[in-house]
Amino acid sequence: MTLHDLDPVLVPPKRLAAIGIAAASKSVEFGFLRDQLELSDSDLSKQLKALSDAGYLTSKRTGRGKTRKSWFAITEEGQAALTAHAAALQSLLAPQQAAADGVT
Amino acid sequence: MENTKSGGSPPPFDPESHLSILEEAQKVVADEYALDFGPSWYAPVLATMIGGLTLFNNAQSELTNLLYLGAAGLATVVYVVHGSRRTSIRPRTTGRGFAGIVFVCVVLLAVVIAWGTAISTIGYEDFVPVWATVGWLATTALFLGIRLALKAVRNRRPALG
Repeated sequence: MTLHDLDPVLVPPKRLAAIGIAAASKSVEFGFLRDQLELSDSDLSKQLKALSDAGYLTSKRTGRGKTRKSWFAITEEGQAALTAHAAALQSLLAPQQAAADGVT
Repeated sequence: MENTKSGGSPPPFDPESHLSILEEAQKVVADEYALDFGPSWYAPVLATMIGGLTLFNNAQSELTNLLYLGAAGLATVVYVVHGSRRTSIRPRTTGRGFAGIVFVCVVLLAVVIAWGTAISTIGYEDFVPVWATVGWLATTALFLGIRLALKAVRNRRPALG
């Protein structure tokens, strides 16, 4: 495994965190992601758009006016991509761990 | 995000930190579900719910029974409806989430038992209304304390990413 095996869409940490939260939940609200990731609305929108454009997230709007909320949920494609990305990260880590074990 | 605008080369890619982001993301969801008490006015609403249900069970006239049941029912509806609308995350069912639900149920049961014990010790006729008010205030204070403790734990969590 090399860095090229990583999913380029999921490499930015904020994007990875966003999809990680979406993967752990049935759906997550925009404001919750913004507060947890400490991002501006525009920055988070960009990250979520990249994930949605890749087909990893779906979005749904509920409510009207002040109660309007945007909800995001991970797709099957997104779940598969995240699983593969996590496996690639584990593989990259394995030689480092083996080297560390060899030293100690 | 890595800062690559300062002129130096970007920091080496660290797979361990990326894996820890994924682990933290899972914890964030489970913690949010377990540690989010809601607004402070949930405390008196919950106290009304518990007090109403306990007194309803012990009241001796039908009208009083209905009044207590009505108060408990109204409090439950307000809590459930508002709670479902204000939630910002819908968690998947996990062992950690289930443990949180069990903990909440145990706390609620303990408070109900405390109310029941107080009523049977003091006697229903003497219990209402002064002791009921004291019990309601104590229960509200207990939930406010729980809310503060949960908030403190929640606020210690660093931002992700």
